[in-house]
Amino acid sequence: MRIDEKKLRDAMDRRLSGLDRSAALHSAVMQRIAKEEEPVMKRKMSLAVVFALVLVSLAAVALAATLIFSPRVDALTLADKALEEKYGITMRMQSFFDRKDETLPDGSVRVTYTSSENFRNVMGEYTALVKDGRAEVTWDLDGVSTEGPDAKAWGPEQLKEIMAWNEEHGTLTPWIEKAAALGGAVETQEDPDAVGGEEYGRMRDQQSAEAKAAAKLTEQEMADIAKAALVKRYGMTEETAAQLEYYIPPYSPEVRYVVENGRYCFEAEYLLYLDKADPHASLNGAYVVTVNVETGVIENMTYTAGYGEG
Amino acid sequence: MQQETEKEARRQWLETVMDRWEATLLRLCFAYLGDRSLAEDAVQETFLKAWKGYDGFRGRADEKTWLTRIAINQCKDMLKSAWNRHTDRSVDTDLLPEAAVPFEERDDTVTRAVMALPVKLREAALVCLYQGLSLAEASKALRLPRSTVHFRLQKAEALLKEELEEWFHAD
Repeated sequence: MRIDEKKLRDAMDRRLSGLDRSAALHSAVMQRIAKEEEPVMKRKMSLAVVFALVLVSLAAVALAATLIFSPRVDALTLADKALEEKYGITMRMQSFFDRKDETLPDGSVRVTYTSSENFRNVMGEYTALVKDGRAEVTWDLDGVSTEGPDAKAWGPEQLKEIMAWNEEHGTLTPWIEKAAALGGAVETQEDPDAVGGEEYGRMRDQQSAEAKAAAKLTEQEMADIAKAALVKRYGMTEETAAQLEYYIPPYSPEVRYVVENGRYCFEAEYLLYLDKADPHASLNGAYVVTVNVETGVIENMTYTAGYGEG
Repeated sequence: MQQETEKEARRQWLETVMDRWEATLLRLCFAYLGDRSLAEDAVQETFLKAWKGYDGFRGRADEKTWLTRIAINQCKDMLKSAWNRHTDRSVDTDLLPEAAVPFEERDDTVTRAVMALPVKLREAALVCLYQGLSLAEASKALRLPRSTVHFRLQKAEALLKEELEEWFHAD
């Protein structure tokens, strides 16, 4: 038995309808912003800083020539391409899915793309098996019709429609409701080995500290490697790459040091926001490149436009 | 000049976001905190943080998920500081504001039932049931493993079921 979420939402909205937009709150926010915007004195950049920046960019060029992608990244790239070729699921559409990979005893790599719980019944799960430089993809909804407005399975056509709608309205809620109305909701299984909130936080903090201590590369060096990897993997032009913004999380930036498959790594995040009219706007989104802190090898690369995992 | 244009674009973006989400976030924060003026403070902080984090948000898709994440963490921080001042963390449901539209008694019942949940279950219920975030999105918003959010949600639903039997349906 599940609670009827829509009924609950509507009921709470009616009961709390007295809480609505107010001019006072609006003006309080705008006043605080005006205060934040007050100009700060700019410093002139010294010649030494300019020289250092030139050196850094030269180093980045050198790095691009010596990039090393792990076999895992190669396998994931093959899987991503095969998914697009066979089912039309583009890189941007992959944001509706959670990608996981596992190396099997025979050396092949199984990559699964699982849609978020809200869409699990209609978007399903794709599985790619990568072996000997080839990837074979299947869908657990193979054979279910994706045609018509009440299709039980949603393929690239529906995903495209959802993305366009979201672009305009900024939310996926009506589509979540539509998916739920089609029935066959999937229950998420509780992970019996999952650790609790505080324990999880402690473990992660400890791993971050260990990874940071093991680093032989500076954060700047790893960020440069990550940027060069993005350019190569996603075929970005120089102009597009110049628009990539290096993102440092405002809270706890040290959480970017992680342990990935037993290796100490650093997760460099880049954001891209090109104008909608830009021919490369489909690359817009957030990119995370996992760089080995000791060797500089690219251990993983992920992209999201934010539809599934937010 | 370009700086001014960017500043203006950022302001306009915030205006749109506020128009779209102010009421939703205010209700969410009120249901979490149980206090109108605290909720208004939380929403104000949320929009300010959204404005500051504009560069980090650009290019991502779901505004609602992102704002819910900021708002819920703002509420959590506010409760934490209230807790530090040894304030009672439970919500006084007698302080519900007057509704602007007609409502039925059961609307009142369900709102009070959600607000009366223990804080950890309340936040899971508000984020997943009221805001409609997926478990994956909620786990990021609450900074908890998915399994923990799922567990809390199940517990919240079990408690709500005791009072709201007719709101439940078979899968």
